[in-house]
Amino acid sequence: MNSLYRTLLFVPGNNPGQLVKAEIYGADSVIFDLEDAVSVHEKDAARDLVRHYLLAMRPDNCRVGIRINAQDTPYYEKDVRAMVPLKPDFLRLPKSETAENMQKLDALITECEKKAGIEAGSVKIIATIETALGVYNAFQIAKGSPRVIAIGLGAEDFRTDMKMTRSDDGQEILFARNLISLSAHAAGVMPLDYVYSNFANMEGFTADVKFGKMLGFTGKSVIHPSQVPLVHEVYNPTDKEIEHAKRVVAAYNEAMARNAGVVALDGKMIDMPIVTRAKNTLEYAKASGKEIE
Amino acid sequence: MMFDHALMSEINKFPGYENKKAFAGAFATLPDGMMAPRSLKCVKPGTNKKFSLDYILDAVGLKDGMTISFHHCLRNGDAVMRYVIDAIAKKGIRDLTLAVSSLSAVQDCLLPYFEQGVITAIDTSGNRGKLGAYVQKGKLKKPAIYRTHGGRARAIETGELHIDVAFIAAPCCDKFGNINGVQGKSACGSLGYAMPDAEYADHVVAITDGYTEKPLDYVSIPQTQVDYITEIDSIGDPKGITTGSIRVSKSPAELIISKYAADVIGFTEYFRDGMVFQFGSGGMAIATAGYIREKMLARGIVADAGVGGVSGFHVQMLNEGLIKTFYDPQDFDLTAISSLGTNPKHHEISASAYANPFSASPYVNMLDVTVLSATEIDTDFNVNVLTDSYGKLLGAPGGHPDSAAGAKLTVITMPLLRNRLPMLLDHVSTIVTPGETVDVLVTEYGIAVNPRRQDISDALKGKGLPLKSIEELKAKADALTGKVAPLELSDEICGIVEYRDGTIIDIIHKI
Amino acid sequence: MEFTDKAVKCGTDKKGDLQVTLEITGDGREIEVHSKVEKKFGAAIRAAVEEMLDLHKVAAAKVLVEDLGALDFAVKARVETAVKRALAKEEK
Repeated sequence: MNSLYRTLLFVPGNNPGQLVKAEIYGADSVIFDLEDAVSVHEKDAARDLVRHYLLAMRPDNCRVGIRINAQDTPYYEKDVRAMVPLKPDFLRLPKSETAENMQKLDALITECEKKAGIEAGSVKIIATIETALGVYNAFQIAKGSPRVIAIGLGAEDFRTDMKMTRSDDGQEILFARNLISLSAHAAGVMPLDYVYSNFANMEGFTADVKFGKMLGFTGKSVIHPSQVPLVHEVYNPTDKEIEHAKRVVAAYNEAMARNAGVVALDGKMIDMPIVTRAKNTLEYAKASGKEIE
Repeated sequence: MMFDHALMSEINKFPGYENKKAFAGAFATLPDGMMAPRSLKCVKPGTNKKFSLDYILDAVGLKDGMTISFHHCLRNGDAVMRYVIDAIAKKGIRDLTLAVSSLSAVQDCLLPYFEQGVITAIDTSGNRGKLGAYVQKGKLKKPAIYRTHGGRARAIETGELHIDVAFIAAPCCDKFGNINGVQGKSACGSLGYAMPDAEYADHVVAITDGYTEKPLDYVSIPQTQVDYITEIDSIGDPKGITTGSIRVSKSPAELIISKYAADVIGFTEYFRDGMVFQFGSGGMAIATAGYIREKMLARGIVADAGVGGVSGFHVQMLNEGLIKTFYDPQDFDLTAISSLGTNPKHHEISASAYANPFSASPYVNMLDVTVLSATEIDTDFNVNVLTDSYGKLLGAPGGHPDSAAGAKLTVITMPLLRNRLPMLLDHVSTIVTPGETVDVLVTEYGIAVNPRRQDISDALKGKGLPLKSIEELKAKADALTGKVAPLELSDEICGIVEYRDGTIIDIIHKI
Repeated sequence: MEFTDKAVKCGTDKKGDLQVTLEITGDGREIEVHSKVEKKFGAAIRAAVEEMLDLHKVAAAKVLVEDLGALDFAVKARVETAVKRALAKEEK
């Protein structure tokens, strides 16, 4: 299992046929959805189904997250209490608007971890921000709890809350995307790009992923298996980039060994950001299964 | 692999199976002797060959106990078998052996003739539906024999399968007896499966709905082999003869399998300029071919040849110049049929040339890569394509064992589960293709390489593919399905499964 | 199998799922399974049903399982949800 969150694949929580297949698509993380994909009459059924699924056959080749229901619903608390004992890697909270949302969730998780005898802090939080207030508070939300590892934009609901008109090229959500990315990096958490729901439009999707990467996003939430390899292709370094990264890291290691003050490669000075970037590249490369000697 | 000797002596008791031996290895059994003799014939110039079917049945002296043959090139649209057998039944002839290149669902219409005792034995590749169920009740006089495409040709050419009268459905036939499958309203493409019959049967009868006085400009089966012709309104239903354009699979899981299969091939030495390959014609096979095509375009690779059944996608690659030439024993759709009839690089070959191991080299020997499917596979990589998880007949060996034996790299694409049923088992319910000829299993949950092929394992390491041992993949299947109640199969034999070299590799149990 | 309006349902008719109809009764357990894979997994399905009834201490019930190739975890989950729904209905 790799340590990256390039792709987070939403899988409907009330569909056994789809749960079983979740692990085959190569996503870095799967998110079992108890929220939007499940009708209000079946919230209990989905909770039981995901629970039994994880007990029987939790995937070991990807991270496992649960999208619980929003804090202001009657399902929220039951979701958290049912899921935490299963030690998911994270819970994803929709409609995250304030730091208080994070604090409340943190406290409830802490209580459940204790009850279940799980190491405190094991279960992380990813906040979905999908309202005007949420975007406005993005930095605060990201800082709202040490459990928060990422914040993501929920474009659909955001547009509704903002009374926006949808455009073909997504111009209207550009600011929100930028602010989420900025806030996440400022807070030291990962920014996750929004769900592009028109999965039949592969070209449009790829362009959108590339643009998101440009804005600093480090991963994207996806809803269809076919989107996974496309995201990885955009986020994966090329063989050329991997080769270069290897050389940078080698030059760095060699300079450290010599106690040299300056790292140089091909006559150019290499400073720390470049070395860090190179190390990241090799991480990505490893994650895509390529051999790094 | 051990084939039970006690079973073998059971099989040897049946008339016609006295000399059958047990499977001894994919290349262990060699031919011995000469090809079957054929009678000399003489037809003087100006002789008429065209008569009514009744007249012909008398003329060829069809009697009780004989063997008649048909080809399955009209697939599920065939109307000829019923037409002929009905006429034979009306003459009161009984106890015939039906030797066909395969049986499709449409041949369920023949069931009454079996029940009446007109036909009492079957010699085929495939069996399914009501006819399959009939056979599995043990109602034939002796166990049915299931052969590969190459094996049936071998049986005919060695004389083991002696055909008294071959009835050849002919989409187009001229007055001299030249036949082709590419012209006429019931065109079916390559008549490869009919060619051994035409060469070796004592009497050859063309049944056509595309009769012409004029000599054909495209000849598949020559007039020198055809004794009689009869014309009928329709030899088959075009909707059943050809499929519509086969769509690439849309199922995400099947696409994953297809992509993995293409990746596996791409990382081996066999994926190179000048390669020769075979892809099946199902949705998943076409998807795999699609991914391979992308890789070929990306790397500027052109295949020297394609071998095997042809559909529109193969023709597209041929026309694009991605495949230089095609050797074709069967066509599935109109695009393929049209290509066969017009493109000089698209060759019609007989089932014997395609797959018979007892020749100076069948075309399957050319293959670098073949991608095949399976109903089941086991941890020794033995493959089943003939029965389902309950041992029920629903498929055919076809060219599967032939292709697997000939190819340097044999890849099986298969979902790990079908509904709750595991497809990877300790033992398949019927062994059709032996594991020693199978190299890689590709499922949506992982890829397993046959331990015999360390070279392939090495080639695939560190490439980001989900490689697993076959045992790990089996454990995954078990974890998914849970405990399976063991299958209780009857002891009684109702069919024998023949490997391409004539040996017996498994049996079919009564149900 | 006959049910009164005390019965509850759970599950869908999608591939890989099952539909459970369950009613808590007074005497004994009646379990009826309809499944294409009855021969291979009938016993396993029944065992899963019994296990969930035991877990929730339901001594007597009528359970109809209409299975579409569901794996074990799904059988257990659907039965468990049905039991909980039935118990909740009883409380009302």
